[in-house]
Order: sequence, then structure tokens, then C-alpha cells
Amino acid sequence: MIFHSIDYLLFFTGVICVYWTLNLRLQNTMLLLASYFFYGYVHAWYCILIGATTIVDYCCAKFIANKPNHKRLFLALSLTTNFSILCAFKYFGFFIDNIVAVMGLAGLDMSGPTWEILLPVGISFYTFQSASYVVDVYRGKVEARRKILDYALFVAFFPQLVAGPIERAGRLLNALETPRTFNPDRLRSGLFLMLWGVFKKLVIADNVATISNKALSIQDPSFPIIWGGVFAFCIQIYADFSAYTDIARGTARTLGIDVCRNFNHPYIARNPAAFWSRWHISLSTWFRDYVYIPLGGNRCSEHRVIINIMLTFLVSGLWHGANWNFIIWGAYHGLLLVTWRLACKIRPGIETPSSRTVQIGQWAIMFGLINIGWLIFREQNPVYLLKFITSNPLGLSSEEWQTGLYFFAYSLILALPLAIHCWTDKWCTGDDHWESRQQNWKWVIAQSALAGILLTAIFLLKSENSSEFIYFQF
Amino acid sequence: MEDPEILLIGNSMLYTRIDIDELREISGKRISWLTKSGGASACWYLYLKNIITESGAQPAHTVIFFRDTVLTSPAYRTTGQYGDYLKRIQSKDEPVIKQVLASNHLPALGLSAKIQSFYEIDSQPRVFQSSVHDLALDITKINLPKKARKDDMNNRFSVDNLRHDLALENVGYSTPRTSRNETHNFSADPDTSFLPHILELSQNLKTNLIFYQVKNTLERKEHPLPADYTSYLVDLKNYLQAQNALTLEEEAGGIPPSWFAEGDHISKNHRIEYTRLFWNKIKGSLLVTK
Repeated sequence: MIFHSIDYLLFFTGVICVYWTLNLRLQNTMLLLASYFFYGYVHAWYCILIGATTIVDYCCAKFIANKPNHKRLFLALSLTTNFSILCAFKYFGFFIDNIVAVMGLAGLDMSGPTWEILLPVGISFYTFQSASYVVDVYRGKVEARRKILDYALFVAFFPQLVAGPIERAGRLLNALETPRTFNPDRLRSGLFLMLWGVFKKLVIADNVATISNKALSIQDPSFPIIWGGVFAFCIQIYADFSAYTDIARGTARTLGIDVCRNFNHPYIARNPAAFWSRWHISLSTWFRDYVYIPLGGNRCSEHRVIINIMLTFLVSGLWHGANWNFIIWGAYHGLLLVTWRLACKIRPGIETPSSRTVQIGQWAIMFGLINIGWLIFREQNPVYLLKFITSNPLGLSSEEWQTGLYFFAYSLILALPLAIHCWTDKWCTGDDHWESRQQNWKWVIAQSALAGILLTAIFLLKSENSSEFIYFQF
Repeated sequence: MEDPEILLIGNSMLYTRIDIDELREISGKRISWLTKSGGASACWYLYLKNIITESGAQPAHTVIFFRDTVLTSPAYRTTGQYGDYLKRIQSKDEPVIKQVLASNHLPALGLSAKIQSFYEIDSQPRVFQSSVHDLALDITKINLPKKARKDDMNNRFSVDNLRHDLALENVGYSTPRTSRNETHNFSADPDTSFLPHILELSQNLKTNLIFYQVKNTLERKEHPLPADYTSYLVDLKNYLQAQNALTLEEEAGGIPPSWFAEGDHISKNHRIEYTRLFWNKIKGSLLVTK
């Protein structure tokens, strides 16, 4: 079930109406049933997979807590099961294709029938969420849960099941175990967040998607058209993914549960480290806590730290998809981070320049580098990727430049609401004015007016060709 | 509409394959076509009901070009710009359209379709979207007038210039592929499918109905097909045979890959050759005439 469908609207309305009439135990039971209905709406067999992951991890965590002498064994059992399922569905075809290709280079024909394995949506997200719980129990950071119902809900909680944010047991599981009381302010604020997410998806992401699709789908695009298209994709992927997160957070908020923020205006970052602290925060911190730190993190030789960063980003790239372009994308960002780290060592203070011009220069360079990354991320055909990256800006006609600039301008116009949000958001400004005004009647009127504007804009400007959320494929 | 001997109905799978003038010339027949990019079974049903029947035309043969499960995916391409088009070719009262679409949006309830039709989100004027495009064109004007730039872009981003390695649906162009996650269950229930209504209309018109199946990429490359899709095709063909309708298949092996422009479309340069292949394939089936 997708968030911006009528089916979801009906489902959500039904859930919220019944939910607030129940006590905690029944609320969680109902949420669990609703989550499995939500997940199995298109393919009921998805529920078997998530159910298997839940049971294995619940049991392993219990054994880790009850049999400390064998806790490594149960951790290994849990991780092996989780990542075997993930690999079987997500990477099997990719590995087989590459083995066949390598054997082909050696003169051995191993080609056979191609298997088209349907990737269950959200598997990368809930696998990571469930695995983090077992690791946290192993590390003694959280207690193994007694009630399987609460744990099953933690894994399958429908607002953030399909594309995150990837929650931790310490936050979400605790929240699910705590009694919730109905708060009209939180309901209003959650609904507004959902509306903002739908606006970002249908008006911004889907409209700029037509530009990036067109620009990067013709046989011989010129330099301005390629980069106009990449800029459009840059807007699209942020609007699309953050829209999903906003609808997820808004839905959870209406249910009285807080889900963590996944984005903090990533495109205002002036360096790679800042970008990764603002983009897909729940995944970045997951990799930090469960890959980078176990590898040794910062507490080892500089040489080893560089290897740790590169390994973490390579795995992060592979997480995004079973294709070489994602691995290259991960390596590219790893290299940016390593380069930035070395630059900070050579020139201390580079992170916080006092000059406004230097700050703008840093931002412009970083934004350009992010866009190069998005081109790698989007283009799965290596021949076209090379062709796009090496395209020549010289000797082009004015039609080419005008078309490229038009793509850029169109995307920029549609991105204006994102810029306004960035400018007014408390995370960005450090000002707490949004939350503090929730109960102020003037703010309620302003918020209602804004909701009316968003709703009207959705009706009038929504794209004719709406697509699935990009991160569903991961 | 002039009284055609042969009528072709379909979407881009038809008009990117057939050169209608060439077909008329080599066949020596009066041939007409009704084609709309992205059209699917709802559209074809309305063509037969509101255009052919209303015009009084009685084609001896009607050939419907289809791909994948489009014939039995009634809700496919019925909203947005496609919904606008369907409304234009509908008459005042279309009980079949209402019934079939309502039963295909939300299983059992049809609630989704009712809400859609109530608030008509998909039929809003596109004036505001055009304004955003025009604003972007205005602020990036260097020397060419707006009309010339639009023409240049339409030409530059036309289907003929698309990359060969991309499926059309991935780049936002119209194709008749139904949902990626769809399960292929054949159904010819008149309450949930337009196919029985198409067959009934063709019987009333006394036209010899031929369903021409265009092969998709997987079929052309002889990839193993999903088991449910294979059984779907068997069920579909058995059903059509039982209804005295003929099914012909595009011979994927006989078409060189270089003929394809992108996705499942035939490039402009090979349309005449394809048209000749098509005529050779179909002419034997046209021996039965009225």
C-alpha cells in the first residue's frame, strides 16, 4: 500500500478512528494486525518473511539474555539468518550475473536461465532494524523483550516499515511499550506533517521526475541537458524520500508515537561530513554504530581509519541496490569523506570558516559534488555513466543551453517550498518557534491556512505521472 | 468514419508498428485505425461502442493490438490524462464503465473509485502546471521564442530519440505494461473486465475479431516467463477461442532487435518492413469475409 493512495487514506482513517478508543494492549494488537495488513496488501507472502525475521530475532535475543555463555552463537545465528534472507532476495541475481560474467571472461560459458526474484519492499529497512535490536541486546544496551507482540510491532510498525526511518529498540520499542494519551495538538501536527509529505511527493518529486527522466533517457544528451537533469534528480530524490519520511513521522505522531527525523536539510551542507549527518540520518547512524565502530572507528591508526570509512561506505552503497553503480556511489562518497578528513588535518579550522565568501564557495563545491554522486547513483548503465561524466560543455548551440537552463529553472521553481521550509525550520535556524507555537491560536490559524494552500496546490499542481517512492526499490 | 473493411485498434504498440498507408497499399483494402497512446481495454471498449457502432461502420475484420495483461486489466490507464481522454469519448451514461472500474479499484468495495469520481482529483485543469513550465521558459530565454523552444524540445525528447536500454515505463513514457507487482490472474467476469463487453459489441457489429498479441521484452528475449503469466496467456487464448475470436502472436524471432526503437516500439525506419510482416501474418486470417 502506498502512502499517497486513496487506499491508504481509507486504511489510515479506519486505524486512527478505532485506535484511540482502545487501551494500550489492544492498541498494540490492533497496530500489529494493521501493519501486517498494510505490508501484505499487495503480496500476502511478504508477511511470512517479516514474521520469520521477527520470530528468529525475538528468540535469539531471549537466548542471548538467558544464556550469556552462548550469546555469540545466538548473535551469529540471528545475523546469519537475517542477512541470508536479505542476500537471497536482493543480491542473489547480482552475484550470479557477476560470476557468470567473470567465468565468461575465463572462457567458461555458465549462462543459464535468468531468475527474476521479486524483491520484497522494505526488506532492507526492517532487516536492519531487527538486527540492531539483537546487537543491542548482545551489547547490553537494551533488555531482551518478553512480549513478542510488542517486538513484532517494533519490526513491522507500518508507518516506517517500507522505507524507514530505521529505528532503534531503545527509542521505538520503548515508545510502543509506553501508554499513549490522545493529544489534539499532536494529531493536528501529525496530519500537517503528512500533508506536507504528500505535497512534496506529488507536487515536487513527481513533477521534477519528468524532467530528470526526459533528460537522462535520450540517446545523446548534451552537457547542459545532462546536468539540468541531474539537478532535477537531486531535487526529486530529496523531495521523494523526505516526503515518505514526513508521512511516516506524521502517521506515527497521530498514533502518539515519535519516529526519528531522517533528514536535516542535507543540501545546505558545506562538506561531506555535514552532508552525511543530514542525509538519511537513521541509515548513516546505523552504519556508524554497527559497521564503522565495530571495525575500529576513529580509535586506530589514520591508515586504518581510512580503510574503515571506505569499507563502511562500500557496504552502504551495496545496501542501496544490487548494482555496480551503487557500489561506485558508496566508494565515491567514502573518498569524499576521506579527502575531507585529510583536508581538516592539514588545515585545521577549515570546517568553520569565518568568511561568508568561503562558506558560499564550500557550499557550492559540495553541492556540485553531491550532484556528481546523484548521477552515479541514478545511472545504472556504465556506458552512459561514462558518457555523461565526460560530456563536453564546449561548442554547443544556444538551444542546448536554453533547454538545460530551463530544466534547472523549472526544478528550482518547484524546489522553492523546500528552500522556504529550510529557512523557517527550527532544526536549521536553531529556533524553537514551531513547537512552542503549537498551542497559540494565531499559529493554529496560520497552520490551517497553510494546510489549505498545500491541499489546493496538490489538486492543481500534482503530476500526471505519479510513481512509487524511489526508496521502495531498496 | 468511412466504412472500412479492416479496422485496427490499439495504442502505441499499434501506431509505432504499422505504417497505415503502406498497409492500405499492399492489402488493397479500405483500412482505418483508432489509436491512442496509452489506451487500454476501457478505451477500446468505448471505441467499439461509441465510435464504430455509432458511426454505422461495419468492418469485416477488427484487429486489436494488445500486450501483456492489458486486455484484462480494466483499471489500467484510466486516471489522469487517460481518464480525461476516456471522458471525452464517453456518452452520458456508461454503466459498464462505472461498474467495471468501480469493482477494480478497491477489491469488493469499489470505494476507492467512488471517492476518486467524487472529488475528481485527476480531472483538474492543467493550467497551473503549464504556468510553471512557461515561467521557467521565460526566465531562461536567451534568443529563441517560446514556441520554437517547445518544438525543439518535443523533437529532442521524442520517442524516436530515446535510449534503447531503458524500458519506457522507467522513463515516464506511456506503455501498456500493467503494474509491476501485479499477479497475472485471468478473469473474464463482465463485472470486472471489459473483455466480455468488447466481444459482445463485436458480435453485434458482426465483425470478425482478431486479437494480435505484441511480445514484450522478456518474451522477445526468450527469458523464462513468470509461471502465473504463462498460465494467464493460456487461459486468455482458451477463452478467446471459446468465444470464436482469433488470437495471433507476433513472431518475436522474426523481428531483428535493430528494428526496435526503445522498449517494445518499432523504430520509424523499420515500420514499413514490419507492416509487410504483419500483413503476411494476418492476411490468411482474413479469408473469411462478410
